Amino acid sequence: MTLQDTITPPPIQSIGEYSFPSRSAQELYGDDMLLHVWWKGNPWFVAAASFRAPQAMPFGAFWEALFVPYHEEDPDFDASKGWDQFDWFLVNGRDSTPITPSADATLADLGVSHKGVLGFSTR
Amino acid sequence: MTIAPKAPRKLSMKARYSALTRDLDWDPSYVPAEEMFPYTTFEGITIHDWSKWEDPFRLTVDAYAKYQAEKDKRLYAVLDGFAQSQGHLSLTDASYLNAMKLFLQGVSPLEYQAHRNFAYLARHLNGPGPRFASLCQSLDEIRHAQTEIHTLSNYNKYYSGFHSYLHMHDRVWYLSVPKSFFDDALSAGPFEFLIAIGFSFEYLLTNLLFVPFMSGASFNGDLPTMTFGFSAQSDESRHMTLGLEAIKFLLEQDEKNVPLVQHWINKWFWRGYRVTALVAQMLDYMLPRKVMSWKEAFELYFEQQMMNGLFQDLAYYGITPPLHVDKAIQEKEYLSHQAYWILYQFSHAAAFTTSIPTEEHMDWLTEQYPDTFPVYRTLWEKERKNLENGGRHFIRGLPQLCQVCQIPMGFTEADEPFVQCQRESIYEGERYNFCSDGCKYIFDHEPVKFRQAWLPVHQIYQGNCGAADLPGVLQWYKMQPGDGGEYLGNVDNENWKTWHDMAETTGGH
Repeated sequence: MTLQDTITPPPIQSIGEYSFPSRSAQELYGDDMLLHVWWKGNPWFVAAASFRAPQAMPFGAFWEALFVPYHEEDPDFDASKGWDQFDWFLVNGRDSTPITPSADATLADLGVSHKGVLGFSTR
Repeated sequence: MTIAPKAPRKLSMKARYSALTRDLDWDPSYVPAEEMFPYTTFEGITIHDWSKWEDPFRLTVDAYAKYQAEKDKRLYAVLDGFAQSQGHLSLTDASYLNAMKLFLQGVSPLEYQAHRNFAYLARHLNGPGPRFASLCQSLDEIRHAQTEIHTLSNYNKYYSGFHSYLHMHDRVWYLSVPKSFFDDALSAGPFEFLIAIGFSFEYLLTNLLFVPFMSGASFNGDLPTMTFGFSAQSDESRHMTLGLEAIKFLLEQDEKNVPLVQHWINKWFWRGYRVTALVAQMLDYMLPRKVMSWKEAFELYFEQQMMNGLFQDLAYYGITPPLHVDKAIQEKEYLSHQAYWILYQFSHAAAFTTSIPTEEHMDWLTEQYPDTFPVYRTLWEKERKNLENGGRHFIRGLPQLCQVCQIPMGFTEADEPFVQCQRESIYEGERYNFCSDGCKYIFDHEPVKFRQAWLPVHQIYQGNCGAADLPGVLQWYKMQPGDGGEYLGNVDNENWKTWHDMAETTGGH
């Protein structure tokens, strides 16, 4: 997935050619990506979590293997209620786009991309 | 009859200073000036007359050495006395030392880096006045690094978390905050560095960065650190003057310099301010005996002295207060609560300890922050229940980091106390995350610089930090059992109690 640039920086002032790659580029993670998982409105987790996960990981597997072990540290979180207890959305700054997860849909199918923020909030 | 030889004529201070500094300068005749000073044009700053640089201190090398030697002698006498009398036992509590661990791991290595860059300025600025001022500051900074290390080394004999601080500074997640801040300045041009460190760090924010640590020391029985603070004070006032002189010089030399300087003030105010989050939580949470709240410190040292003082003067040159300063003023009400909440839940991966505030402590926080702390108190009440049920809030994973300040993204929107700011930019097809509009502004001007950021979380996931699991990463950090985690029941806490029980039963120490 190619993302559209959102910024046009001013020219670089330097003593020579200045062009260095990102130290967090997606290629550095093979077929995986980094994703941020953000429980909006729950201050128990001070920041969104960062995970490395395959882009083709089905949401059901993500829930079992990554989501629940991390979030069950919150005494008020009840994993047995499943992911339907939350509203899910993709975050872009202060805006968000709702999504509907399902066990078989992959993270990429849901629109999650490298260093993107997958948000959720309690219904 | 003998005639006494005439005493050599003594030069006036001013003439002596001139003879020993500016008179030693020369104009190059074998090479053009641009070749001798190759780094002072690429940033776009225009200097017409380097001789206009004022040197208010008129220091010479011999006078410098004499003063500093006397100050060092006094400091080392205090250090010896404190060590011999087991002075560490008269601290308010072993938990006080968390502030000093943070200082040694996070700040002292920056003094060394400052030494390096001022040595570079002492060679590469065109004018002999600023070169000499930079030389003095370069010497100050290496002395500060050395004396801080000596001052705190005594605690390393008795307490955890003081070993391996240089190793940790280069690797550990929370120390990447001050390290990357300074690396950003070191890799800038000489004029940006002067505004970044000379002006923003040493003038604008210095009272928020250093005074709280030194006052904290004096309020908590840490005589050596307090003495170090006094010994550094006269140097610091010289550094402040250099910072102020630097900005006025740049602004007076050419009008074209004004927008460049304004951008650097915008950038470096926010860069420095984000680093002060560590100081904010130290003042409000780490010190057993409180000096003042972060909010009070911010109002006094920043709003009164800088916003109402300095920036009124700079308005004459067309300089306005830094962009995003309004956000920093809003955050004074909750910055420390959010910063400590970050450190509390990640201290199992740190070389300092944390603990839930006592009821008395929380009452003090409520007094200091009547509008905001009650909201955060609910979090601590939840944690208290968690502790009663055998839990302890340690995060079981890694946090999202800001691409610029590298702090876990725990800072919230001003209008929503429990909703973290999420900002992003996309550059050459890649997304970058930011904790604030201030950090996004900085990235958007220099994406090629900041996309190289060595973000600890991203590096761990690439397998560059020793191992993929936490114990392996901690080993790569050189952390030892007892360095981090919960303070109550920790080895420092247990030793502290034992030593004080011993002192009581033997009638003193």
